[in-house]
Amino acid sequence: MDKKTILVVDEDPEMRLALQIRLRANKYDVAFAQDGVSAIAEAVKHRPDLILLDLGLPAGDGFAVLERLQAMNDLACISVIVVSGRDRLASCARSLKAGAKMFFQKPVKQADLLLAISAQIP
Amino acid sequence: MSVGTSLDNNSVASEHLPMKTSSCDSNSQAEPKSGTPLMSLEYRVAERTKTLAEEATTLAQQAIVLAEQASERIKSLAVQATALAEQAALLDLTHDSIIVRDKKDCITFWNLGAAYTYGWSAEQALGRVTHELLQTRFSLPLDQIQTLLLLDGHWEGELVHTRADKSKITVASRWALQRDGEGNPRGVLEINNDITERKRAEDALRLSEERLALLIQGGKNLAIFMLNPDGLVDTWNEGAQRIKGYISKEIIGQNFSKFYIPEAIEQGRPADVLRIASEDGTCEDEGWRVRKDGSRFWASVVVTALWDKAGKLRGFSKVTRDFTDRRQAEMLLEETRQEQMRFKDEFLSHVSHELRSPLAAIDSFSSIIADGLAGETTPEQDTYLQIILKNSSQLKSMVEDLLEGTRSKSGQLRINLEPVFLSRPLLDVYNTFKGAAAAKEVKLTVELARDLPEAYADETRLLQVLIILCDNAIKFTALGGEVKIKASICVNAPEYLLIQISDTGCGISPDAVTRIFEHHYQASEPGVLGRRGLGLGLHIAKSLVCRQGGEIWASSVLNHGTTLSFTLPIYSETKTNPVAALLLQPV
Repeated sequence: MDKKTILVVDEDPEMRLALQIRLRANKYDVAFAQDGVSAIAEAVKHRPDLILLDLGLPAGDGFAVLERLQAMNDLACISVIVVSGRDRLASCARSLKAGAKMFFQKPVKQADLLLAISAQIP
Repeated sequence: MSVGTSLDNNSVASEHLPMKTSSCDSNSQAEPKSGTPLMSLEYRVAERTKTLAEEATTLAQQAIVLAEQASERIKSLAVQATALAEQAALLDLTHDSIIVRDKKDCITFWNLGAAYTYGWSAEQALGRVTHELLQTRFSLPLDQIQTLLLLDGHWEGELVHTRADKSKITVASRWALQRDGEGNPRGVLEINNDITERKRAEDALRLSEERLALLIQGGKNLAIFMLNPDGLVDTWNEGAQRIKGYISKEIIGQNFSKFYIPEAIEQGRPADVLRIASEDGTCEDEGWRVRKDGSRFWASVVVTALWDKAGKLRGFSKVTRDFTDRRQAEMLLEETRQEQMRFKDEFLSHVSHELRSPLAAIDSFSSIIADGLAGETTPEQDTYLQIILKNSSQLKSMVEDLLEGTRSKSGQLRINLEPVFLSRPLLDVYNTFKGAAAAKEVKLTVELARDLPEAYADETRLLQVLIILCDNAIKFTALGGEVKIKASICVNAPEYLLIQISDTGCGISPDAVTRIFEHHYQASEPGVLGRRGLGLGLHIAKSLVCRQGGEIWASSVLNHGTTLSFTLPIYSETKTNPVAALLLQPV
């Protein structure tokens, strides 16, 4: 069975590292991006099965990325889980409206996240 | 000569008797030619006696006539005297003072009224000089008055007199000049009417009117004017002119609706204001008004209904203040406040965000180690790692408390109502929580009644409410429990949709069931992991539900479960939505 690829988009290298350890341990392939522009580029390049997207990104924030993804036919079908330190009240609804499948607020319980991922890309 | 002489000798009544003649011709008279001189003497005496007798009779008759005349005269004089006495008595009937004085101003007549008014009796007054007795204070110099009197024959004016008891009174005095047969001034008739009380009342009234006029005129920044019952302008003041731009003759008689902006006129606001004022007594209003030149100003208005003693509506008083400056200041203040709050919210948001990142790092890496992904751990290390994880979790809660507790009211966004199908937000919340639910092995289900009509709500806010309620439900449900989300038409109120989130969790005690929606309420159930922060979640949910026109409540059985229910109005194109109307009113 092919490994699923997850694109991790986060400005914070430590966050990327933590997720990398987690995801790899759970048998996922991981790709990375640290800003809005490279997020799209990497998405096109790797065609991930799922994207973990932070909202506070340089060069276009998470919402811009979501918008862009929705606009591109072959990328729109990719499940996106938003993982953000931002205020849940404001960001959750907006994220879901913008096309994200789920919203998690940092710090996120790793177990919860993993379950969510497996639910999205079984 | 001899006859005359002989008669003289007899001297009957020689002086009074009309002598026939005393001329020498008397000798030729009535002397009978035949007869002796002695006979003629007897005859002559007899004749004379006869003559005298006749004259006496005549005299007596004349005396009688004179006596009669005299008696007539006495009678008529008596009648005149009676008439005069009656007149004098009439003159004494009046309380007015009737005074007659001569050329030298000495009192020649003093009626009872004068005695009563001034306290001097007639005896005391007669002969005194009027203005000395009464210590008259004249409104004009006396010589001017006298000149006028001579010219016109009369004079009227107010005088101040001093009574016998030294008190002062004001009289309305009327003088008439009396002239003699040749037209020369002979005296003055003076009639005085005590007007002291009347003057006092008049002065008081005038004073109060002056004060009132001063007050009204002095209100330069206040438009104070009156309307008649139909709303037409009756009076105007300087303040009104200043504020509204019209001078009185331009505006009196016009309808006061002229001052309102077109939108308000269309809505019938002027008529409403009058109606409310006549029903409640007064009506206060704030809003835009139009000046004569078309420019607008912000006015604060009080209209008061005026009733007369008979209970009839006489009109309205209207006081208008130009509050444009104040309003501008208010708006500026409000803007500044909003800006400050926005800044604060943004700042807090930023701070929380920044705090979360290091927390996330602590949490992530601690759990990575704890899960053995960085090599095996000793039991001791495990224990310590758990402590780290627990504390970082608490820290996270406190950050959340900080943000929620300090979020200002305006940090909440506006509500935009529109028709919303419940399916989408329900699906969204399901997706959001299925992971968390699965992690606790809690079964999460959504039940949506078929063909459910659209709700009239704000989809974003609805989602927020669902998130808060679901979050609670899952949090307070132990492992292996169930959380069910159900949406249907409300049976008791078919104009509303009913959304219920029920769990099989630890439940809420009966006395807490209504209190959980309060600000700062915290559930302090033992053994419950993860504090609910400052307890604002349900309070926010309630606020959001109410703002959309619904209601929210909870029912629970301890240790069995809780159901949180809320309603939302069903969208209806045809019916007017009272909530929408409420929210659309200009703020």
